[in-house]
Amino acid sequence: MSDLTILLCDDSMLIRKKLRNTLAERGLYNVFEAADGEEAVRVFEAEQPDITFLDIVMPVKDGLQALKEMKQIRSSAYVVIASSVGTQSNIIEALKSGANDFLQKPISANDVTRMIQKMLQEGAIG
Amino acid sequence: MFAQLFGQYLLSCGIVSAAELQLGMEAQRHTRPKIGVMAVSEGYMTPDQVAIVHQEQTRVDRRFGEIAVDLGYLSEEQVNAMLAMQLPEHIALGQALIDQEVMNYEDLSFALKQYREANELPIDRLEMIVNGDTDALVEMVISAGAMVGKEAIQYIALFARNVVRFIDSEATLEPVKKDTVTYDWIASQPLMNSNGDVRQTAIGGSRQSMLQLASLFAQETIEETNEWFIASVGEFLNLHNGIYLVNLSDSGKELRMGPQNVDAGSRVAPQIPSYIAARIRGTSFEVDLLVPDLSDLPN
Repeated sequence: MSDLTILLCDDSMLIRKKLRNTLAERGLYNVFEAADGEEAVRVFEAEQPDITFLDIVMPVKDGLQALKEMKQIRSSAYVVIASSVGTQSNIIEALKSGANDFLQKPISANDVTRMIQKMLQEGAIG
Repeated sequence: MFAQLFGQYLLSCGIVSAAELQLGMEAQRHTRPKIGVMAVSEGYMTPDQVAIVHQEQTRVDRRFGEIAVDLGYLSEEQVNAMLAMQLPEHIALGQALIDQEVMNYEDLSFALKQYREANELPIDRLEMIVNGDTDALVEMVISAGAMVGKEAIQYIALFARNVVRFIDSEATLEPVKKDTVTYDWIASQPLMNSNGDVRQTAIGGSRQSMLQLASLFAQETIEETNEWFIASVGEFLNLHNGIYLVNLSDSGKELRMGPQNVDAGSRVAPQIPSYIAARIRGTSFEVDLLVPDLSDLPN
């Protein structure tokens, strides 16, 4: 599990820092970050992460558009939408676009661990 | 908000798949209430009792409620109350998933119980704020002299609850006169509808108060108005607005929000021409919440 590659996409550096710390506490150090949707797609394509945590409201390009582009690049990508805006339309659009799960902020350490375990149980790596 | 969060909980725990949740959420809009699902969701009946009533219905041509009353599972008052009740969204979702045979009554009962335990909030404190703030809110609206709808009132009440939940459990809410407001720092975020109409929401305060707010939300000491300060204050407003939009979504109103901004030395009036303000006083800070008239922002 320690060799998992993880991509954190959120325009808040506070959220990225907290998630990175949570992952480090669990021995996960292969962590990449992106602060907007465009950067998220670029890093996703370059690093091929095992799991991506993706915010919706971000500058330049929003998370739902980034999700669609990630799925076009790699349809088997495991992407968890992590947003404070869990409205019905956002959840449905995210699921339709291929999101594997949807977390409502604030996100706890347990949420992150549960998502990674769920991905591993589903054998969705790579 | 309960339906969305309950749906996310079901998905995250692996009780339903993404495809099943998507179908369930789309089907819930057209779902008609069933007494059995409502009775389990309200805790009036167990899944086993529902199964007994269903079994009985295969023998006799009678309604679910009538049989449940005869068997002593429900009172007539409970049946009438449930028949009169608008179907809550989380129950509609549960029922849609049962109708699609994704879940059974036992699964629903268990998942609701687990969800409530996992998301237990400091109810006493929340109720105190909700019950206690009514007079203050009314007074605030009157003193502001503003024609504001229930949306702004709900927005302020939710903000108070979010401050209690995420920042300071001792925080209180009080009115503030709008002609006195200038701030060292202000965090703002636009809410928008599909027509492109925009309303700015904001939190403003002194440098020291905003630093305290940032530190308490980040759960670490932030002593300078640096990038961490900006990230923390902005993220709290973002979190609050997100929860507000989820609540609106439950009532059929869909708005979007844009990225937040945190600026120094802002004067509010030119940026937010129509607003009311509420002061949130914590143990070590006081900040003002600035709310535009949200009633004229249709879907």
